[in-house]
Amino acid sequence: MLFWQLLLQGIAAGAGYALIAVGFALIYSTTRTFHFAHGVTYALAAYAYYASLQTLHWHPAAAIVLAACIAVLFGVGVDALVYQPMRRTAASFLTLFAASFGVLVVAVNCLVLVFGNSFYSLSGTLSRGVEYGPFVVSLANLTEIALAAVLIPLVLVIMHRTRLGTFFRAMADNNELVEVFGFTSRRYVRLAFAIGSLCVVPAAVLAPYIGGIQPGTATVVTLVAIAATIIGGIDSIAGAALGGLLLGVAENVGIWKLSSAWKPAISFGILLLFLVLRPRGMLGARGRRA
Amino acid sequence: MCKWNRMQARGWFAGLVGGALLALAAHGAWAADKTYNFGVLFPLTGPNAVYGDVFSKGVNLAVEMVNEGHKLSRDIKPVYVDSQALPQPAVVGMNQLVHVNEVPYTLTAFSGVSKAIAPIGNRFHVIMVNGGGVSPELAIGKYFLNDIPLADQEIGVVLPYAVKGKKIRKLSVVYVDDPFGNSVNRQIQTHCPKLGCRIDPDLAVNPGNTDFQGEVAKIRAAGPDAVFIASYGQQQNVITKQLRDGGVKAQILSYSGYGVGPTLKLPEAQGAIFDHQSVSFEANALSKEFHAKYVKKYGSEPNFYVANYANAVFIFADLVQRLEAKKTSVTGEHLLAALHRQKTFDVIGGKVKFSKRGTVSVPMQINEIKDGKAEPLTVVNP
Amino acid sequence: MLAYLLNLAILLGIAVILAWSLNVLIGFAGIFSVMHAVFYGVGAYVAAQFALHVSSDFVLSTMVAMIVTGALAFLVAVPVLRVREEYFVVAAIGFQMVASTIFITWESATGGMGGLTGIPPAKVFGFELISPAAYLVLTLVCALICVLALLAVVRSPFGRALKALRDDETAAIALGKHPVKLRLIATTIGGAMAAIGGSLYAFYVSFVNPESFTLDYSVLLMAMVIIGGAGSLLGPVLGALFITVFPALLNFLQVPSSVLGPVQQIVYGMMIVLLMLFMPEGLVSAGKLISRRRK
Repeated sequence: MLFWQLLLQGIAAGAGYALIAVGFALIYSTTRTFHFAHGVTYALAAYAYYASLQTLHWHPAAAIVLAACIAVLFGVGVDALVYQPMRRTAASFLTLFAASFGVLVVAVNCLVLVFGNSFYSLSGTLSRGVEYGPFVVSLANLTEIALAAVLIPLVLVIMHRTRLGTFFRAMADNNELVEVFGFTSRRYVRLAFAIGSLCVVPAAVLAPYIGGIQPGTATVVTLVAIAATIIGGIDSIAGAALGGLLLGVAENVGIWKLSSAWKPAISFGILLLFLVLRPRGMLGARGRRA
Repeated sequence: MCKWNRMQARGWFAGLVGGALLALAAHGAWAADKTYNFGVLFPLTGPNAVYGDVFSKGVNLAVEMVNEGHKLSRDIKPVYVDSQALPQPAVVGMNQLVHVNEVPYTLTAFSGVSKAIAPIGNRFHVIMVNGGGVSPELAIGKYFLNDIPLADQEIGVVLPYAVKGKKIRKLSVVYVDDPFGNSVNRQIQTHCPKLGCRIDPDLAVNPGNTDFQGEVAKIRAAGPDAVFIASYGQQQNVITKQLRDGGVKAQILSYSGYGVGPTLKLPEAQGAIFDHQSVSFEANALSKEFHAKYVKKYGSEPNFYVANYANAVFIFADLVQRLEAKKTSVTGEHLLAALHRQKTFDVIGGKVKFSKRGTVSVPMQINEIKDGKAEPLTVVNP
Repeated sequence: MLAYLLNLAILLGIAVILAWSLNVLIGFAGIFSVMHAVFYGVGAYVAAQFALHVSSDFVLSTMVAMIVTGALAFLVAVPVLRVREEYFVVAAIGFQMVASTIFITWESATGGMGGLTGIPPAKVFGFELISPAAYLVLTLVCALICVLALLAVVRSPFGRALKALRDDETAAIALGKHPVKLRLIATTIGGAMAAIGGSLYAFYVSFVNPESFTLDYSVLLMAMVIIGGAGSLLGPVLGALFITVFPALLNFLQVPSSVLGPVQQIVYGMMIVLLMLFMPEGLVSAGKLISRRRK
């Protein structure tokens, strides 16, 4: 019984990870940018939602819209101010990584200065558990699963059935060729960052109701998103979603017998195993340029 | 950037910074202090700042009262350093207090912090007084004193009361995985079997962890009669909330750390039982005076934490006064010698006497949380 | 005041040794390691346990720490270095996170969050080093030994092979150099040197706990090397100087420590971003070396 309860919680957590990972994977596969600051998008959206709800007393719908705007602005902004200039100088992967990491460090610490190191959470009908027979699950968890179940297929539909998606996949395959055909990929890069950043918003808005938010969450979330993407297969968005789900379930079921202190080690342990034994991930194809 | 290369530029920059630092250092050394300074190592920020806030109120009022009394040749002055209730920043802070501010006496809190700084105080002969941490393993050296009863006493009182009164046969324990939490868990493991109750499960959580869905699921599966929460600050609030949200309806038990404002006011904490030392603000003239001034200054009632840290300040002032009378310099060693000569002090709540191990033994009060307040149920004498 | 400056100098010395040890990986061998705090931590824990249970002789404790850490670095490097370049960074971070968890949960070895306390003062030739001044001398001696070792490495055939690898990997392989073997040795050396820093730290502060060896600190070490300039001997010194002195300055100006920490990180985070944006090539050898390796 405990096992099934933990599994349920794992699926809820995995749904959140999947959303964030899908955003990261979308950005990476189309623009080849290792967007380390992706977790900051999540944290900013969560704080924006919390602050506008608690301090400014906005209506939740307005708060969600604010969170979404801030997420998109941040993602697109970092791309415009940091990544794009570096692309022009043909900066290497590691240079981009270092800069992206620098942005993560600066942003997280700005959050600490503004909000302090304390932990914020929201209480309400969403956070309270509801009993379904032997199980207890909160509405927030259920909402997260539902949103993931709807939005992730939506992203996949966009990728495979729309013109925009075709461009995205073309960029993922061969960026230079796309340019040759006269399409400026700049606009699509911006769109990729916008949509990728938007993906985290549902998880971010629900976060204060589930585990709560602290500045350090940004770093953890980024790492989990990267882990999920790599485990799923670096070029596959569906893989990233699967990877996120797998990590969520593994973490929560893993503590069935272990103490919860081991949660981060479980996720990163799985990541290390994949990196060493099967770097292409679950759904990644062999031989793709990384 | 043609004449200087990057390396040279960096070298000059480093030199400038170093020079500025030295200049400031010289200035600092030149300005001398004309007060008796003592250190205060509290969490001023972070998830446990609520305690630092409460403790500081006691310290500040006591300092005011001492300085207004004019019994010393100089004023006393607290030097506040933020420990964030974490061992590492606390060690840095303690080193600063000892080597830069050169205090002979320091107030501290939190078991993990105290354990980490104790070797420093012991090595450099600086008295440390703890009025908030309760790990029974805090009898840690000549220079370390506790004026709060430790958890062995606390658990020894609250557990029998709860087990007998609420007929608890199965107890779950959630404890923070640090020296404090581990020692409380050990105490519970010792006392429970003797009282005829079983522990299932006992769960360690990381300090700083705020997601307890896993723990709540395990506790719910075990179906205990009561859950003992051994944590502090925001974390204990989150645990309480998530327990109730997660469908656990068992009785909540805890220790003295549960008795702070935000926790008392939690709707989910309603009905929780915890104990702390019993402090009477009517015990003597000092207690009454302190109580009146506290209510006037802060508009709320003082609690045992306030009393403990105010007492630590009063004891410091008392010891300094004795040293001044004998024309002895105020150092850690001399203060400690004076303390051992004096043994008993008249403070808020009556008389306090330090055992050889640097601990105290006082009456304990058991409370139940009702509508945002701690209602006393009974007092147990040692 | 003198005590304060001595304290600062000792911490700076330890930082320099750590930065040099990381430089062996980043600057000499081109390994972008964001897990160096783990080696620092293992060195500190081993030295601390040795001092607590066997002997507080500094040389002995440090040697034991170096052997254990070096062995660990080698064992970790074997699988991790096989990982593809971009993934290596992620693997390093993953390893750091796992190690942090082990530091917290393996209580019998590390004391958990409470850490190891009351580490006895370092003993050198039978003398206990209690005064900060004496400890500074020890730190400087260690730093001197490290720099001599580094010079020896640079001038040795091994060092030349590393440089060849750095300059043009394909040519080096054509000439018969084994990149993996060379990088393994470099990682082992870097790990062992980090243990010296760990041992110095453990004896000085008399207290070690997981908070000092987190991902944040690994990134800080990496920043020291990048900002100062990888690949040279002076670079890490300048980086360590900047990153250690700046927060000390803020501390001195009575900036509260809860503001000081974030501000310090913001400053060096911005520096990394600006450096990578405007001077990635030519300023730091890492930049030169990174872009060359991409070809």
